[in-house]
Amino acid sequence: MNTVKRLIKVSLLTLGMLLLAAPLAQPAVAQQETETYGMVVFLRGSEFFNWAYAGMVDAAAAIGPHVRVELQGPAEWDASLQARAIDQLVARNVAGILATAGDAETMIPSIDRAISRGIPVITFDSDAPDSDRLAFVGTNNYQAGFRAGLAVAEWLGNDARVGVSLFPGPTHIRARVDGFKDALLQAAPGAQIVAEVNDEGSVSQAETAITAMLQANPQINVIFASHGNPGPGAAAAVRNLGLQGRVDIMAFDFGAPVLELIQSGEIRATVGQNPYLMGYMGLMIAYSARRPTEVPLFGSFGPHPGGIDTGVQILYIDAIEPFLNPPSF
Amino acid sequence: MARNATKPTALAGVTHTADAAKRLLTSRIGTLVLLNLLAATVLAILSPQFLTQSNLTSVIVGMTYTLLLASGMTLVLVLAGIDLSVGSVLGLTGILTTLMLTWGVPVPLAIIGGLALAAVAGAINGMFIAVFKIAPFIVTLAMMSVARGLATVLTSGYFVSNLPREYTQIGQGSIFGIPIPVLVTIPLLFVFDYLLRNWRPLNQAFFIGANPAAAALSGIPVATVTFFGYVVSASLAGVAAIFMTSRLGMGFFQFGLGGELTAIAAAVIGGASLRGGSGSILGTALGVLLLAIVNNGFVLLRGSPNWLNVMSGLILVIAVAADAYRQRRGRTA
Repeated sequence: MNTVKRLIKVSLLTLGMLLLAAPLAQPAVAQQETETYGMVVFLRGSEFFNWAYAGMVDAAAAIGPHVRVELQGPAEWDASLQARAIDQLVARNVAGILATAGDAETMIPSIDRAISRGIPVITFDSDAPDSDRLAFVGTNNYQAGFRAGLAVAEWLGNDARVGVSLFPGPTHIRARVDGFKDALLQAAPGAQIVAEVNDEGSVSQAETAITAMLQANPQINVIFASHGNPGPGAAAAVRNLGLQGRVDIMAFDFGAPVLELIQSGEIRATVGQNPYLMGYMGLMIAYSARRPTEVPLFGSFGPHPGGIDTGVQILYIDAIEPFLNPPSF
Repeated sequence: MARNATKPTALAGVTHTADAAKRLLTSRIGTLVLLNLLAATVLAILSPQFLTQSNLTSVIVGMTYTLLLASGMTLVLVLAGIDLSVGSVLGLTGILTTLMLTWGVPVPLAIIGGLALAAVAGAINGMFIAVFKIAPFIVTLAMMSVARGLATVLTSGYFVSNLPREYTQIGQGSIFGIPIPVLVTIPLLFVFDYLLRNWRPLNQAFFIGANPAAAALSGIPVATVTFFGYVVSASLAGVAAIFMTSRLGMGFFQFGLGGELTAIAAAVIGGASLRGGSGSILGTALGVLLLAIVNNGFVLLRGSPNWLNVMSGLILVIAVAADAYRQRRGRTA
């Protein structure tokens, strides 16, 4: 019996070593051939995408010196310029592309063209689900809202009386709010969502709307900002009404004003997405998809998952330090 | 038709004050005052929070940005033009002013610089429209895109924050309990309203808007007045930018996004016509107030956020339809 076990152990160990050794052996050959992967973003230079690119740079370093990366895309929010950036990368026959979709439609032809030329395209942060992209790496917004709901349940339990700031339309915001509600009511059945207001996506409108919401519903003791903008507006509303200390705020994303308000204690926490991981895992998937195996499950590409949820962290004052100094390129 | 034609003679016997009262009630301003009173009364009855000082303050402060944009828009609409760039000029002015502050430029200089930039944007609009005779829709659409694009490129979507306290005090502070933005905006608009009605250089805008060819023939400096109309519109957007960024303590490239549409809606509700020649600052202010009360009512009465835009749209359509109806009656009479 023992011999059989040992035999299995040894063979597993050998297999494991072989698996480890295989990629180690490859670079010796691959080293001659440099592979370039491009990241295509909009609002190039923005904090969020700089984090993503930092992840991509680190992933490239982890794979080996033969992997080069570059950052492309317009400084403005223009998906057609992004499409052109993809076309140019395809014309240079790069090894793979990570792209975030400035809008879900405009970039489809360029993405599909790259895929048909055998260049793996991975979308991150914002998806183009109708394109042929191999995988989407980003935040599962329902889960992000769910985490926020659990945190609020932890703060106030059954006493939580929540006001939600949102704007109707975008599905990612709806998904966050749905996840938030489900988690809150699951973890604290006595808690209530008292009101929802339309902040029209703007900080200034959020201030007016949340001030009115807090007055109409004095029982509200926590505000959930379902996207990046209403957090500072909620803080201003709480300040207007002198409710500091009586109304908690759960913000979204880690823009500078939100971080400053966490430092000053006006916002209790924020839902931090993980753009670094998006860039890191995105490159790992593209690199793997570049290498077809004998297993015929992935078409003409190598193994790749259809998507990865990079998750969120609930960031309190003690965790915001790394975000105060974002990377720049 | 016959009934309408007899109306003036029938009224002639009625006392002068009753006549004036009736005219006021059937006028656009009168209707708007009534509508505002009605909305406010209903809201005050249904929601005890409506008339609280903190609620009214927040409603009025929230209105100041739209008031400024919509007043400038009114002048441009009177001139038979349109200014689609006000929201973007607000955004760009806010970015430039806050950026200058973070570079260490003293507060007064940063504000002057920001306002000057807004005025230059308006002057560019005005030059292409008044001198080169390009359609206002096209020129200001281009400016809308350029200004928003510049605001984006300058910041890459970053927030500009950590503004000095002397600056944020402008938007957040109050004197005698009145928030500074309100304290500046309301008198400014009273002056603007008076000048538009009574000061000849500005008042000519109505003639120009109604019939530019006739205005030119009668010696009115059409190009000059038109040019300054756009400068005023953009400058008021600049003032709104100073208030918005100082109140919120940040600059953001999306500030003012869609502001032009709310401004046009408020001005049209207030009696401005897209065909030019009509409109008033008072009417526009009442239009802004009506939209703000309805907006506030929606939150206070826990209306679904999804219905808010429907409601604002309905008010606009009703106002425009009522106006069209009144004009047709006026014409047939």
